[in-house]
Amino acid sequence: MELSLQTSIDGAVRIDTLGKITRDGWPPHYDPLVECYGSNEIYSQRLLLNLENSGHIDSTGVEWLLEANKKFNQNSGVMVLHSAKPMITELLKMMRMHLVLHIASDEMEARHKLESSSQT
Amino acid sequence: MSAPHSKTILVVDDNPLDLQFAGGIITGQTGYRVVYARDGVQAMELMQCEKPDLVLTDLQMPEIDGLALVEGLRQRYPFVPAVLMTAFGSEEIAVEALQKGAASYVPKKELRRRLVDTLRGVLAAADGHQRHEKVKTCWQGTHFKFCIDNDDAVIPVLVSHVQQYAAAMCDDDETESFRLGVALHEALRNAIEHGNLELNSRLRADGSDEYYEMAQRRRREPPFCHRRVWIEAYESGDVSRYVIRDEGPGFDRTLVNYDPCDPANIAKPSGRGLFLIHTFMDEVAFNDTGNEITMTRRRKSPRGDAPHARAPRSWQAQQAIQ
Repeated sequence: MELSLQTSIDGAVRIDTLGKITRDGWPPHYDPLVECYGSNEIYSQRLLLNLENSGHIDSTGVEWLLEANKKFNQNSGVMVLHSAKPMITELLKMMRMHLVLHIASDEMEARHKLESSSQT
Repeated sequence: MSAPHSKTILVVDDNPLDLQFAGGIITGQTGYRVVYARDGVQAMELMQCEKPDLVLTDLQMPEIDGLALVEGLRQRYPFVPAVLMTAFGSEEIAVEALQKGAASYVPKKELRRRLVDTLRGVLAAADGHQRHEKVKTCWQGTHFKFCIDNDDAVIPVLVSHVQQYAAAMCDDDETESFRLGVALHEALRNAIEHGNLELNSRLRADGSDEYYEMAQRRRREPPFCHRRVWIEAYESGDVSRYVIRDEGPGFDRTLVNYDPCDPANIAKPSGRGLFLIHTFMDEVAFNDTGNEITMTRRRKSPRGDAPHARAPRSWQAQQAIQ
């Protein structure tokens, strides 16, 4: 899996995932979000994570999203996933991830979720 | 000396001059045999007796036009590709014809320059497709065997191979392919990490990296590094079975109980992979030791009316995987 940092808009960091969302092949202590953003500060940001370019996800990928989400919560940041392909959306739903993760169907909805999460 | 008539091309055009012009280019530049039809009706009649390898047809003709002919060919002779000859201004219809199954098109004004290359390209592609389709009509099943070490980089390569084979032979769609990929990937990772490397998911709790550090260490340490994962896969039109065996001590599957409906389980580090396997496969069974998983999936709607979709699988093929 690769992450690609996009231009930030309205104070929100935009990152795209590329390829399968998985922890496979990661060395210990590797944090792709920190690597991509350049510092631990990522977890105090408002992040829009675009899953559009990922066709697959596995259990370790789900685990990574949960861990990342936990770090955002601990550091007063927010992460909203958006634009996932239907099969990934279904898989996340099946695992009831919508109860703990912020998931939006597209970037516009993700921005609304980001706003409402920031206000609460 | 002329080349042998390795291929037969049926050229269809209601304009006799255009008909002879296109046929002349083909016979002049290739060794292909050319047969001629004045319209779509005659073309369909000639399909029976001449058995052409490719149909080159004009788009605008009386009775059956090129578009209708492409549709008719697609239904009755799906192995025979059709190439359209288009006049200026008929590009939109040509696009429609491509959507309806035409293999390619050549503008009439460029016939001399592009026709032969186009025909050769389409025939080469059709040869491969025809061979594959013919194999599928008599295919009963395929048995794979793999043995891998504990390198998880091999997993996506192997999974992709099985997915591609199942898509090509069993017409698995994107959803089926996704489900197969997830289940196989999870089972293989379980076999390597929990089976051969004997890693406990609890080490991953609270985002700790201890699990991954131990995995890295054990990949180099005996006895873990000497262990292998054995994979047997049986693919057929209506059922697929995958057996994955590791060389670890086995696990007690009753201890893994992941229910996503229980909120306490949502963030739990273990059991998610097994849950996905159970969700995406129709049957999941373990051996008594707990180091071998057998996953079965049955296709709800067997593809087309190919013989293998109805015929019982051979006893040997079934036994091979049991």
